[in-house]
Amino acid sequence: MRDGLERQSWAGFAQGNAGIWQEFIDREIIRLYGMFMRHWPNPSLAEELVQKTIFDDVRGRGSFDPSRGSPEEWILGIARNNIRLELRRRANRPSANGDLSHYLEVIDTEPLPDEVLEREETSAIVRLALSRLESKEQAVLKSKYIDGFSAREIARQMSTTEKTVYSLLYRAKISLRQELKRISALQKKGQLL
Amino acid sequence: MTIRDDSSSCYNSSGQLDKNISRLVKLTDDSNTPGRAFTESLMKNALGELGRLEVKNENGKNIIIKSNWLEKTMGWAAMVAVACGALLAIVVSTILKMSFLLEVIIVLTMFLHWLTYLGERIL
Repeated sequence: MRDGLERQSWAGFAQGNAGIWQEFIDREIIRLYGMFMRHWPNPSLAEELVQKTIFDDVRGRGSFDPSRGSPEEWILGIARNNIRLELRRRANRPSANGDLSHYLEVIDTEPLPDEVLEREETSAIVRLALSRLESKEQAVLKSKYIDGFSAREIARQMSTTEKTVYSLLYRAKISLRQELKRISALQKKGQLL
Repeated sequence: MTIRDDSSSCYNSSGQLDKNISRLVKLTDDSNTPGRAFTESLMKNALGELGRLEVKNENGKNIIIKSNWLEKTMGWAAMVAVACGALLAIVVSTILKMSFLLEVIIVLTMFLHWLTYLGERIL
């Protein structure tokens, strides 16, 4: 009976039933995110790969064959393929061997390499730098980048205006950049951590 | 495939710094689950894409149905025309007392035309 229901749901999946897809995506986002994070401890990259996998899944829906396995197994195959592509991409680009201070010098213009973000020391330096900011600056950065709130939502939470949130966010980013540079320079000299 | 949708131009003005700060701050998140805004936005965009693909497929199906209908009608019309032509050739050749050979040539020509049409349909 359960198998029959599952098969029915798989057919709905293949036919593009919105309700079944909504449930499926909701479930899979968390599973895929965990899977990518186990490979590379880099939340931004994990989000990118989850997004790519879900869209590959939606666009390739027509080639899903219920007789060859469940939708979960199918999306897992797509995710594994995206991991292979990411590994190949990394193998084909120059390695990021420099220390963090080197990359922080060009933080305004160059993207930080994933390999640098995935180092344990980077995470530790960011935590330390954040802890040295004012509490309001810490709060606005976390609300914006971790919780993903919009400026309007942050303004409502902080009982202030959107304009104030924008300027607070701007100041917080500049302060964090300065702290990061300072801490990484100290670390390079061996005076920290 | 950009899914972030923030109307604020101030957020986008700092460009690369903003992106890098975002990636760095996210490193301090210990929850091991994606953010609420990311999940909601991805869900909305994925379902939107699914809907767009459905509409595209439906349009494709309609075109196929129309072309099948047109092909069938044309096929039947061609068969009737060939049959009428053959009949006419036999009648005319009988009335005009034409030689049997000429009659065979006319009928064969029409039959070959019909075969050509069928061949095109199959290929």
